[in-house]
Amino acid sequence: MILKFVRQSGLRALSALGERFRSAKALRLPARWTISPVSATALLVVVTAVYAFGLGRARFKVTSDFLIRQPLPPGMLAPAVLGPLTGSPSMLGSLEDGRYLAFYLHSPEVMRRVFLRLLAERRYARRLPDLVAGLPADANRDQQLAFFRSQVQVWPQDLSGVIQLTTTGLDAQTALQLNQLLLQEARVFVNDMNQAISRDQLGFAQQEVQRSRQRLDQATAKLDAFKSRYGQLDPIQESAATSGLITALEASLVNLQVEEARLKRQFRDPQAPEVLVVTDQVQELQKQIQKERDSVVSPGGKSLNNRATEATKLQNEVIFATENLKASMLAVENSRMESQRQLKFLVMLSDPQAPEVQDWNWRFQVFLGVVGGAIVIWGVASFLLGIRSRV
Amino acid sequence: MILDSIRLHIGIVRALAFRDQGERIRKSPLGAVGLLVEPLVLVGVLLALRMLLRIQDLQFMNPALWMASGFIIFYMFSKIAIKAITGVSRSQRFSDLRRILPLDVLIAGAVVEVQIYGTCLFFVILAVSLFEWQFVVADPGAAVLMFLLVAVTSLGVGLTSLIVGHRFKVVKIVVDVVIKQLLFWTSGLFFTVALVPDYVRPFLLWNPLLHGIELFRHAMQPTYPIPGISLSYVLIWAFVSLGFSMLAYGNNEQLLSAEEPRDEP
Repeated sequence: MILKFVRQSGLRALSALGERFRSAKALRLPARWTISPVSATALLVVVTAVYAFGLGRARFKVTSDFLIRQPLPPGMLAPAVLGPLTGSPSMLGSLEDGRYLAFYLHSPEVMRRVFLRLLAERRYARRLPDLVAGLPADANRDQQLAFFRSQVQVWPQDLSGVIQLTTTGLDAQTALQLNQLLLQEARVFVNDMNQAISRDQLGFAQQEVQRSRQRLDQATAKLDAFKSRYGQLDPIQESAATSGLITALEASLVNLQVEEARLKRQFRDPQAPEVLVVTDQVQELQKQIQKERDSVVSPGGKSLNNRATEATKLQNEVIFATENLKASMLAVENSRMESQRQLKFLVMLSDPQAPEVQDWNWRFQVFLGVVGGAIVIWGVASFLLGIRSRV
Repeated sequence: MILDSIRLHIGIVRALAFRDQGERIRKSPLGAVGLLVEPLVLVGVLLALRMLLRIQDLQFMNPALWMASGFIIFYMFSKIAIKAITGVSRSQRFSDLRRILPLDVLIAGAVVEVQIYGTCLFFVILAVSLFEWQFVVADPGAAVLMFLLVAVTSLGVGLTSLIVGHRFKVVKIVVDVVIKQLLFWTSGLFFTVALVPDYVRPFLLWNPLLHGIELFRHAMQPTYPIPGISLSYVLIWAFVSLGFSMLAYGNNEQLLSAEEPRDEP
């Protein structure tokens, strides 16, 4: 059932296609102008052959290959230039940079600069008998950009990270100069981009230094104010000293309590003067310990604990602000050095050379493209029309 | 005189191709649509499988186009070559029409296969171009040339195997197995030649079909890497195999008739 439906739908679609062909016939030219498809194709192929192998002006191609590499910091293992590059960080970096570079080199800014230096309107001017190749005299900016893009191919190779730059010119020198100018643009792009990033980082780091310095000043001022308010040089040490005193008092208390217990066992009368002296000492010591304790924790007393906590907080803030300032200053120094240093290099694998012979490839490409297109149209159309004729 | 003869045979081949196309439509369960849909189903299933398994490898071109170009060209090669090895079946013979040569029948069959698989590939390219919103074939002439060279090679290999196989039966069997099994796994249907380890690549590069398929992909995408792939190698295979088969055909025309009718693979 489904198969039948699909089959009928397909046949209906092909039938509709046939109707279109039939209706198209109604629009054909008068009888004396009609031309058979075979003759039209033959004519097209002949015209293409005449243009491609006769009238068409010579094109010259110049190719250069390069890598974008970043020197690795000392201590890191540098991969060999001819070693296995697949998946290595430098290869992936080059590939990524190459992709950005491909967009950059096709940009209107680059075209403007390069065409200005190359005098492109004169060098790429159209000339008889070939009215297809070259730049029209009255080309607007969009046409110029489209033409420029057709003359420049930037192909980052996925497998190796090598970037291939191919330029086309209507004479050998133009193709070579275009390639060289674009290589200069690529160098400027690679270095300027990285140095601009470092410059931005430097500005940011300098702002951070200012901020860290202010913060440190504020933290130091707060700590000084705290110390002045309580007349203490170091509340933490004072608190520690008090704790030490309490510990010492408690140790004495333990000793006296042991002595008191011993005397109570020695004298039958607990009111004996020897016992009472020690008992008084114990009580006095307990009161003193309590008093010291209160002075440390009670809000009414010196409240050393709170002061120590606050002092620790303020001191930590000063330490943090100091470290922050150190790090910011280090970052400023690094950014300053990086912004002046060349971070990435174009490693030329093959320099552009002036071609001595013209590029024949485009001639075969144009000719075979037309012949191939005709074969495809003939093959697909005859196949579909053959099916339609069975409907 | 020669031109008239060539024109006559072209007419015969066209008529036979038309007849062959009709037979194919009758045999296909989905009719005319089936002829185009069947080769694409396999590509679609493999693509779906690839998406389902989330296979992420280096992609040098659109994966649908990459896979379709490999499978469609391989199946075209396989069908034409196997059909040529099989010879002309009894049902295809025209014993009462002396002008129709067995070679005409085989060429007509090859033309139909080229049309079917070429149309499939054409629609895949059209679909991918619409999807990517740009024409995906960088060098159409080279792409068509590669496709036709593979077709010529398959016809030449098939005919040569048929003629040589008549003297040495084992040749026919070996070629049949090689086409169906060995070439299936070594023609770049599942891998890119650039990603094959260096110590394996020289063995694979003996396969002319791998050269044809990879050059076809390179014609689509100029940045597609093709280390070791050679156009000359494909051209030599195409012309030598076809030339040799034509040479042998002159004296062994009767061998093109199949001894036993065989089903299509």
